[in-house]
Amino acid sequence: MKIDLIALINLISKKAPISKLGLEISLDQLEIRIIRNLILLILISLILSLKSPTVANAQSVDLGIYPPIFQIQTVVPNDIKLPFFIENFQDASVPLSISLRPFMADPDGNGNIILQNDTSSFPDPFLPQRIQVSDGKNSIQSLILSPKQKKSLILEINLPGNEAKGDYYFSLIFSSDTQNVNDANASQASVGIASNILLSVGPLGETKGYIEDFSAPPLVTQGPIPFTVKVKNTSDHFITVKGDIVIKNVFGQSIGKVELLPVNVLANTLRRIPDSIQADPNSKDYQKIKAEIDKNDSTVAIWPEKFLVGPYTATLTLALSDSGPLYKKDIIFFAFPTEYLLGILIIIIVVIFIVSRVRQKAREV
Amino acid sequence: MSNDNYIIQMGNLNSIAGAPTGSGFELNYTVGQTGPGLYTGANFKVRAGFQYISSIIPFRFSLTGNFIDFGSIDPTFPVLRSSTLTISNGSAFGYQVTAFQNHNLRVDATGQEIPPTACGDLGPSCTPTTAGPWTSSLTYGFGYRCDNVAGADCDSQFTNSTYFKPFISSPATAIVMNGVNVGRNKQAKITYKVNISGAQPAGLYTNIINYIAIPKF
Repeated sequence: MKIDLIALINLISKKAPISKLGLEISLDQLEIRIIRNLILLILISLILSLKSPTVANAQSVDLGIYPPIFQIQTVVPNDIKLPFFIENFQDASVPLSISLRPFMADPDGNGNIILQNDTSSFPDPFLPQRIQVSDGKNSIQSLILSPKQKKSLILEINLPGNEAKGDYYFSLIFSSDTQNVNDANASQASVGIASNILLSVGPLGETKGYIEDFSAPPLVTQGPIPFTVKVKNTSDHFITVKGDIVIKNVFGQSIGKVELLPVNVLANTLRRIPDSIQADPNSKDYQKIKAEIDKNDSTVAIWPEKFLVGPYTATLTLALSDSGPLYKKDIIFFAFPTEYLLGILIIIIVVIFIVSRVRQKAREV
Repeated sequence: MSNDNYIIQMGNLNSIAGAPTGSGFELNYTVGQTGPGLYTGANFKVRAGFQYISSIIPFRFSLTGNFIDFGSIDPTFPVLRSSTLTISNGSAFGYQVTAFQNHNLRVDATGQEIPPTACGDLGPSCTPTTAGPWTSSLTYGFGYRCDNVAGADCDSQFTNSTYFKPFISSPATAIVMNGVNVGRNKQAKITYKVNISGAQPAGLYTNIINYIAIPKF
């Protein structure tokens, strides 16, 4: 059907009679159709815009890395190549700079790290020069991640035969680059994500250490019971401790066991050891101990048992490595469930009172 | 799999492909499906990932609002802006987010700076490691606070909405978020506050705030 466009425009602005269009419809009908079509057009546009990919948000950075830690024990000479990946979850490209920063363990023993400014405390301060990140065969110090890109890279450690023996701890950091800003009062935020490298260059010395502290509240009214387990590693290399706490009641029966998480303890440092339940927040047992975790500022190993009465003996058994040495330590704690015992006491008093009254009445009769 | 020279204990993993190698031998492995692996040879032993966490989801950190535009800053009228930090540490047992600034808010051309806040009306009440109340519009400087949005990993020193502290300057770092175990989508809001005196020289003040998410070891 051929329509005179000028006539249509005039018609919409109500300057021309409808007959000029050559259509057998009234002006009101045509207006209704136009409005209906416009609404349809807007709705289609809206639906299409909802289905289209999210617009890249340059004000967000979202990065992932795996694995979060490399624990390496080696003798020299050696050339170690380890794959890992870095991932950009955003819909925009992100330029990244790669850096290595040495770290030491925070003395609080909770597994936190303190980044260091230089490597002067290392047995070989120049060892970082022998660590590089490679993309294929090319060593890189920066890269650009495309939208949603997961990039596989290689961590390469080249250790010559004369490399100094000892432990080296680094964070491998990928930081988003910032742009020069000279037209606003502004702070720019750079986002960095790190994977830790624990590197022991051997031959390793003797594994040694001791239990610095194993304790629990001496008197509790109910569980869960928080155990403080502190281990001091006096070796010249990091260790991964394994152990458990077995709880026995007054009759010597074993009634509970807390598996300890096999965490790393850096050379010549102290670490608090948590229980293994804390590594699985989706477990039912985790819900039982969550309140106790939140209540404690420092890391504790928690026995989830709630109802406790009488004296208990807890035995900590700890292996500093797969081949020992093995340490044991016992502690005693006492549970006095005040609320329950008060309830029982009140019931006993009431029963005694009733019995005595009944007897008194019986005597009177 | 093992022989006299080496033992290989590993999962069948898909998302990383590569060849961990050492002198005298070469191992091929893929990483990404069932969990972290232990790779041992005659000369080295490598554990990639935490052996006690089966998850292979990446250690993930995001920040929204990475350009913090303070606009025009009027003397004694504090300007507040915010960013959101989100951490998912499903494959790491605990994490920390450290923060530091490259330098104070500064006009690069002249070297004029907005100092880090000291918070207190009658004297310093906050430092880069200790939060304190910052209520007076006559206390000047630049600082931040951390509020829990999901989880409770912000530094507990920010006891109420008036508590702030200044950013520590590089190369030192300070912890702003700290998670003790495994978690997903732990979120914190960082609120930046800047307030200047009438004597503050005019200019465009800028700096860079660095946030680094680091797994515990």
